[in-house]
Amino acid sequence: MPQESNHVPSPEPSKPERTQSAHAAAPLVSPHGEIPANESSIAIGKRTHHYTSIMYSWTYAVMFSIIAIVGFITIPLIPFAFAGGWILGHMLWKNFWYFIDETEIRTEHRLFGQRSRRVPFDRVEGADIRQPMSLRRKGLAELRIESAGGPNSGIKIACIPMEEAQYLRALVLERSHALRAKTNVPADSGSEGHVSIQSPLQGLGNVADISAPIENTYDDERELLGKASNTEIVIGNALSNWTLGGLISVFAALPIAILLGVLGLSNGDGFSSWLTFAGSLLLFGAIVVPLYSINYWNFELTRGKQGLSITYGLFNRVSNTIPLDRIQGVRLSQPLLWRIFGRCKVILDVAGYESGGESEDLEIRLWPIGKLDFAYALINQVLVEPNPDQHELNATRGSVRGALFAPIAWRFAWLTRSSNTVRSIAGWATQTVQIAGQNKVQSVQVSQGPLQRVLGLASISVHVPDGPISISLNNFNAEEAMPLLLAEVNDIRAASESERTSTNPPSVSGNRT
Amino acid sequence: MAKSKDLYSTMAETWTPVSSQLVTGRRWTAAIWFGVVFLATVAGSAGTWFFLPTFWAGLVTVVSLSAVVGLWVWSWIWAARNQASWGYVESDEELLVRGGLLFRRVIVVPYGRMQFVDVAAGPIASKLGYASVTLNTAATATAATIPGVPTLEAHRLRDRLTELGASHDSGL
Repeated sequence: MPQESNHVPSPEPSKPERTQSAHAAAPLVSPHGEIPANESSIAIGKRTHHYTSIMYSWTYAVMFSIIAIVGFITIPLIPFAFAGGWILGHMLWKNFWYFIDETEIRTEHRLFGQRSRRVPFDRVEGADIRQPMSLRRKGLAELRIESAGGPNSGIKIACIPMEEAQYLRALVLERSHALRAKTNVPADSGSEGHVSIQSPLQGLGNVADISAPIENTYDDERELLGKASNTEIVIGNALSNWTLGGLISVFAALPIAILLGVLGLSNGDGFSSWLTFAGSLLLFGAIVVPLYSINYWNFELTRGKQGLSITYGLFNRVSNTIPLDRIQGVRLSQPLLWRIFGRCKVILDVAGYESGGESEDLEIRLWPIGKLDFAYALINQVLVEPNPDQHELNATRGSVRGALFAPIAWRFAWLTRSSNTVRSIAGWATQTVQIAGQNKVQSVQVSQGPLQRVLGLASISVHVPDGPISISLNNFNAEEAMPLLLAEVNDIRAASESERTSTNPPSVSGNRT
Repeated sequence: MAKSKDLYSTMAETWTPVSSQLVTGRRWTAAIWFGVVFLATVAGSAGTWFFLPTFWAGLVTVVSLSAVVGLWVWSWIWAARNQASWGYVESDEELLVRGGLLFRRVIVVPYGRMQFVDVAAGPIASKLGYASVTLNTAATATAATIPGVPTLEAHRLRDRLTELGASHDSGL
């Protein structure tokens, strides 16, 4: 239900407001640096940049034109399609507002009925800025606020000036951080709980500069954790398991083909079609997959008071900012060929960033490709592990009897625990290490199927909130099942105990040292 | 050796059993389903007598009817054994649930991780006075359903779990 508060702008705004850009309409986010006298003025609804209408217009014009052509309604209708697209785009822009007030960020659509979505600050999981090619020329960007609550539960504000996007991101993250700090911190420790919302605007040089970088300029304490090498990203993508499969297929085919030829059993037809298959596998792995490197081009990772910022992409530049306490876990993976070169990639599991939401969404990589030592050092920054030795002491591995279910993979299956994290190691074609914070674990389950009971095996799953990470160990000794379950439950208990009693919010404690 | 192979035999906790009415309820449900299937099978095999030789029609009838009756009998026995496999423990910090016969599992949910608790009962269940209690956390993989908790106990459990969940709140 949209709110009928007096902050909602009248559907017929005054002419000057419409003709000028969004800058003039709201002093708060004005790049001319005007700071509002009182915070409540933030709650005035704002339109996005008028370029939004042009962008939408093009989209709909092209869509209508395609309908006109595909629907055999003849090409002369295309001008009307463009006119329709232009009108619709303009109306979409004119009927969209966003609001930010003390407690929440809200959007309102007034076209074809009213739709409004609100995300309270304490539910904000992260904020991303995206800058597609089409927006970069204009110095515009798209802001997305991710919230807890599954796929498509966030807010998207398309097409606002980059400075404004960065300012809003800083504002939203600071407020959400402050709100969550307030609930975690006793009232007297005001230094951590109080966050000034005006600080982001200070130290901002020439704000009218249209070529503002996508990097988070409002957080001036940012520390660069690393820049990934583009060459390594391309080579790494070329050395995927696809390529390996192609190589194996080609080289396995040769001796077989020669043998069959010698024995006179083959005229070469089967061989050539096999070679086509292997070749296309190789082509896909070595040429097509590396093309996706552009998604992670110029990858840069920084850390500041709002959390991690990850910036990447060649044409479509993306910048994710993720509060540290929203990171539920990481997954480190090593395809077979990467292992030879000691390389790995690391993916983040962040609450609210649900995979499978929008297809254009890439997995959030903490690091696209790098050496193992470096990757573990990075992981230690986001999931603090003060006792790495505990993982060696508290390790459970898959039983040899599990070979019946997984002839090779059973050798690589482990579940290890410490008081802070729980890890599972699995896989052989692509070896993965998945790590979750003990304080994020939701429940633990051991299970035993009929065949497992005969073999004296059991499986354990450590449930973390839905995301790319799933921690489990299949087919280990059933005698160890209940002790392991109870030990893990003890770890969770201790982790949530220390979280409750700690004076700082979990994201800050330990990570600042 | 055989003892340690079984997941349930390694547990020392005292489990609260679920209602024995669950057996009755499941037998009724099975009776309804198998009754329908039985009648359909009778009708189907009666049809075969019109176009198959007597021997083959008789064979089809005997095999299909004994299959249905066999499964029915099996479900009758299964209902009691499965009911006996279910149990839960309310410990200080967590709820433990065990259950399942063919596929056995034990799940532990810390109270603080609980998002909401569902109590559900179909027509047969509410007639017989039991309900299922489901715990939900932020992970959908948490499938902690306790079937066949006596209705009053189910509501007490729900209230208690909600209360404990609020007082232990953490983990998101």
